[in-house]
Amino acid sequence: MSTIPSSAGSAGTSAAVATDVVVPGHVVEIGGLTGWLTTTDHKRIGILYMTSAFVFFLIAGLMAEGMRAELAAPGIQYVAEQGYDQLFTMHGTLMLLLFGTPMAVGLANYIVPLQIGADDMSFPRLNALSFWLFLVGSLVVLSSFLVQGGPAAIGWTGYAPLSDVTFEPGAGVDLWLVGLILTGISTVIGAINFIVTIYGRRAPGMTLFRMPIFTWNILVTGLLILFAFPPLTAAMAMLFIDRHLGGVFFLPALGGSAILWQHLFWFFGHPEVYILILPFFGVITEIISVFSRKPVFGYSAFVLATITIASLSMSVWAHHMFATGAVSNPFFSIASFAIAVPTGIKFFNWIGTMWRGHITFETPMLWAIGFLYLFLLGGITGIIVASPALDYHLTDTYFVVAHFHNTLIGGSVFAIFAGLYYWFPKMTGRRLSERLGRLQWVLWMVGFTLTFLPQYELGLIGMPRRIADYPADAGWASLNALSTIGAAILGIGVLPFLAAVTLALRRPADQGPDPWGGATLEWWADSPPPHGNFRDLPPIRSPRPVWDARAATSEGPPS
Amino acid sequence: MTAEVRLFARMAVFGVLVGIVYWFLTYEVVGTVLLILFGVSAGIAAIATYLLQRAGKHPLGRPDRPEPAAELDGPEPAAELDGEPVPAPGWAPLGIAIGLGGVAIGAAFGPWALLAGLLLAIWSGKAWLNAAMRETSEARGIRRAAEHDGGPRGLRRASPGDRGAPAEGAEDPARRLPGAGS
Repeated sequence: MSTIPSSAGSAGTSAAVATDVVVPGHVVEIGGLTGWLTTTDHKRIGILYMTSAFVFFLIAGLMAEGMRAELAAPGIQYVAEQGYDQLFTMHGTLMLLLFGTPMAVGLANYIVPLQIGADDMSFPRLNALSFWLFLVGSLVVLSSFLVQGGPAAIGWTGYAPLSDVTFEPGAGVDLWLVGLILTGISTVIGAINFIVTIYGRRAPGMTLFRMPIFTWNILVTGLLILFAFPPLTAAMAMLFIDRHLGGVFFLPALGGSAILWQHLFWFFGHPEVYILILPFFGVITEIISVFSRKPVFGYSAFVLATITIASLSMSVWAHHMFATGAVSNPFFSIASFAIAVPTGIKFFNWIGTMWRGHITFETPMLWAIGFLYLFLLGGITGIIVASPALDYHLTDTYFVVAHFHNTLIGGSVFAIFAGLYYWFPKMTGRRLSERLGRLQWVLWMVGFTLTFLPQYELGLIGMPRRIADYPADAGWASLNALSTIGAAILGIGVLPFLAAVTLALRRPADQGPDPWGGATLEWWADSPPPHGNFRDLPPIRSPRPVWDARAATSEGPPS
Repeated sequence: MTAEVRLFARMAVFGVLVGIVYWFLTYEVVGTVLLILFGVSAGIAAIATYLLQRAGKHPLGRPDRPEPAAELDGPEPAAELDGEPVPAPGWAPLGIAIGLGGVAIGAAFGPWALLAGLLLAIWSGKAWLNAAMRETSEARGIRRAAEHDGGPRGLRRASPGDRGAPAEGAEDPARRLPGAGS
């Protein structure tokens, strides 16, 4: 990455003068491919994370298109049942564990040190290990396409005893297990690095309650990862022992318990949902504040709501197990309902931030508004499936599929695109095309609605999930056809983004430090920031140091 | 109790309380163990952070940098830059990851990949350790030289674009050593 000269730091009351010191014998940055393979720079590692995750997103997206093509009409057209099972298993695994989580980690890797005024993460070399472990683990998971029998066909939840060697003898499940153990370790290492960085490397003045909301949410996400991922890694190791070393943890016939797997999996699995959304709540908050030209409304309430959601998310795991009859439905139902309260506070904060603001509708803001609408639908349908009485009817139907895609696409993916459009100028010094951005947004709003609204109806009238074929006389065909057309629009909708990135990278870098009028410290550094990030820092007296500095030099806040 | 400690403490109290409530509502063992362990591990983090802060130590072995006063007359001082060095680029992280990948594939397919992977991981780990120790001793040398010179005021650092050298904040001898733990 080249560095471009800019006026970073010249606008504020900044007084720190960096005195150069030359220390011999220390190479800090190497060019070319070797540079990328050996880097310890948080920004390069962030870009590596995001690029790999996005490639996995495209692969998993193609799998989704394959499934929708199969379901467009009754009968088996393209993939048989086993192939379909493999597709939805790998689609879920890739989207959740190889795209969603690492995309959040990648964004945070790039942005968090900048937002707290640090040069880098606390453990840069460990940071590099975290990325490479993730990539190697992901490739191990994907390599299962090459082995005899193909990849795992056990669903991303890998329910025992169906995932035991009796029912799934292929090496695909083994590669799935060991690959995900590697990415799990990588994620925990990353979380430790984030927590230590945020605790230990904040610039003077940057108290916890002056941190940008995105950084706050990454801190809380880091805590969730720390508590949620180890049970998953342990469970996967136990399943591996069951498969190959004579263990009986999850084999009821030999004294084990299949429900034990579900407890361990969902004790990870439900916090994972919040690991996938909390960082993006942060992204949306930053964007809504900047494009409304207003400070975040109810900052402390927002932070407390985040901590409350994270805590509650540790106590709702078995709402995925209502239908087993083996859990306390009232306990998990009430705990799940309770999460609606802090989430509602967040919506109130977002609307309060926009209220009477000078709102402009650049592409990041469009994605943020799309997020508000679609994630709200996901939240409301979440209340419905959190009621055991309704869940008995809806569990394992397309209603649930539509619900979690509403939260994970309408929530996470919309926020990811919002964040990429928002921070792309910071990362590359170039802005993505507004025209292509708007086109993509329209395609995704229409495509998303068309794909998933019919699925709610399909679920209500009884179509189960995870089936490759359905009876022609069930009355599901037209809704399925609609859903497939929507999925095709979503697929086409990715193309404008790829075009925008390609076009932008072919242009020379022309963006200054602060193209949007941002409030947080990353907008004080050059675009892209050089190795070491900052020449100097403004005084930090609020969560909006850049706006404060501009106001102090009578440039005034952006309007 | 600082905000950092409170964050862990809140989660600890939540985990233990909900764990107890959950036990008496359900008498279900797995969930109770998971919830209580969640609370206990958060509690350990809270206590560790609290003890370190009470002893005047930063969690990273570095004293907290001062907060600006609430009210100041005249121009405010700018925040100080971090000034911690970036470890030199190296192949060790990639080597360890590929090595562990070999171990993983070996677990699925057989001992040949496991052994090769393990050797690569250990060899890369040694390279990591060597680099970290070299950076630490370099930083000690620079710190000694700076103390000998009386220590210049203000943070010293290389200019952006070519930095990453162990630029020590020489006025602050307790600043964390580069490479340590990285």
